[in-house]
Amino acid sequence: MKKNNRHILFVLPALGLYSFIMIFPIALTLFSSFTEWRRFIPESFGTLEHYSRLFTDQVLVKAFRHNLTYIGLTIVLEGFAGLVLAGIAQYMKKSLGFRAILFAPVILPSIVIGTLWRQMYATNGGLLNALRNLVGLEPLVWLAPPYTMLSVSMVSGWIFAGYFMTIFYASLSRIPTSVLESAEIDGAGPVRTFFQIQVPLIKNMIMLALLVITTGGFKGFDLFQILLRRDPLQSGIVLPTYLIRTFFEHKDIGYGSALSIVLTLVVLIIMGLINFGNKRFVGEVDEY
Amino acid sequence: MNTRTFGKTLALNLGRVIFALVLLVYLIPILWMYSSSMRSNGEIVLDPLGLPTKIDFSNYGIAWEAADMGRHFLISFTITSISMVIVVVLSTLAAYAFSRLDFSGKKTLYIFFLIGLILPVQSFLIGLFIMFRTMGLLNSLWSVILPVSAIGLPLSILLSKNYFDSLPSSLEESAFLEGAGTFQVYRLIILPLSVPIIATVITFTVIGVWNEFMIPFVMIQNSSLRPLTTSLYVFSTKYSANYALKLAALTMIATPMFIVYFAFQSQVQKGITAGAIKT
Repeated sequence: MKKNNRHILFVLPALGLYSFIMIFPIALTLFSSFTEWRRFIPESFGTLEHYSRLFTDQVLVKAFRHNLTYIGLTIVLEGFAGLVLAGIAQYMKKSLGFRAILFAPVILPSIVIGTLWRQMYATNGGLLNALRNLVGLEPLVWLAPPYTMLSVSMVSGWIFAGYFMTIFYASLSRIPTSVLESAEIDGAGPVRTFFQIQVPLIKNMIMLALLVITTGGFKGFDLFQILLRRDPLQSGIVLPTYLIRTFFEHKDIGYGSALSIVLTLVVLIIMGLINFGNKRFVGEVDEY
Repeated sequence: MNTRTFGKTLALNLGRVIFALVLLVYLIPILWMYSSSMRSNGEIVLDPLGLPTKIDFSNYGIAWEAADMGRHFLISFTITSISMVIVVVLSTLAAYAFSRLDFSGKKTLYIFFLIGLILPVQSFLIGLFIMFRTMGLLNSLWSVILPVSAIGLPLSILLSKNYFDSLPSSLEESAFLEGAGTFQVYRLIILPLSVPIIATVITFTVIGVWNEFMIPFVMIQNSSLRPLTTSLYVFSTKYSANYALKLAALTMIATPMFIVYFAFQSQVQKGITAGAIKT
């Protein structure tokens, strides 16, 4: 096809919408983070006050700690659980229905799952405390310290273990059977074959999952908002909910913008680190 | 039986036990939702594990009325269908140019779109709110349609471009020889051959937009314009003590989604994992 600059017309509608919605507002957020606001009226530009406030903000520290806890827990409850389930599924005949059921929560809206689990966690009339009662255990206040982060993470795990199982299962099924056969001849059992031979072969996919879970751990908003609502004790406040509250409830436009820039940088830095680690330590491997 | 086969049988049976337990963890909450949605609130609080004494759908009718679900279904439907059309048209047009045509700055523009894959929504949400507020777009369906469509573009362009790259160029060459223009080739040759990738794009766009919570939560405060997701949030705050009504409302939203999902299970899984798994 000959070069013709009129061809750019095909790209323009998408480019226009994308720039208008996603790129220009980032510039606006950056600008706003250096601006003094009185509610929605900009008063003066050029202040660093919002950024210096970041360093003395105890709530931010708390939110950040919660994000890290959440990431640690979801790596286990989403990623590791998904990996182990994929490993088991490949040995089961007719695992299709099972895999379909575990994937089902992924398609449901967060509001449906969040509201359902909020009912299940209810101190009186909730499913989980009723089950604890059945085996003679005391009822728990699930959505309060020290259980808040664990309870939210369990819901995340319930949703996404099936997602990661599905992508790991797809990668595992692309490993040539000859690899597994030779492992069996060497006398390796299913568990050792899985962790010592199959898992290393799909490490690219595992790194990708790690990337999705860690960045997701800084972006997740819905479940925290739906399960914990206003969360007056801030026992489950995370960067995204803190950001929304600062901006929309306290109408603190400048500081909310600075928090939004912080969140963006954190996500981009994690991506950079994992990409770097991937190149440096995992290297190029055959992709399955 | 030697130790090796014994170990293998043990591992397999352990796997079966884990499978059965995990299945319970998934089925019990769903069964509880269905069962409790047919009981009275008093019954649920008194005995959360009890089963419905009779098949009673009266909660459904009450919840449907109280949450004005018909209206919010319609709003979600409108937002989802308009966004779907925008994403499919805009992304296939752009992907066609990136895959098949040549123009200055093509590579740069393509990379510019790919940046969108890694940007968290929160990086532009605040600026977008300020912008929409100035333009008077808040509390309108467009304040949700435009962002959710834009968010869908980068992945849709990436997947469509990869798909177009895999199509043979011989068909369009003969069309060009017969004097067809680039737009005609896009519409009459490329699009009809792209049903599989368009189906994938539609799948993740429709599910993503239908389920979207944060954007309408921020943009729409007018309760008569809320989509299903945020209207349910407000409803469950208002009726926080009435488990029966809330669970009935959830059941009415989840059931049609389960039916569609289990009918098109492999297509849906493929669509949702398209970003992670190469097709």
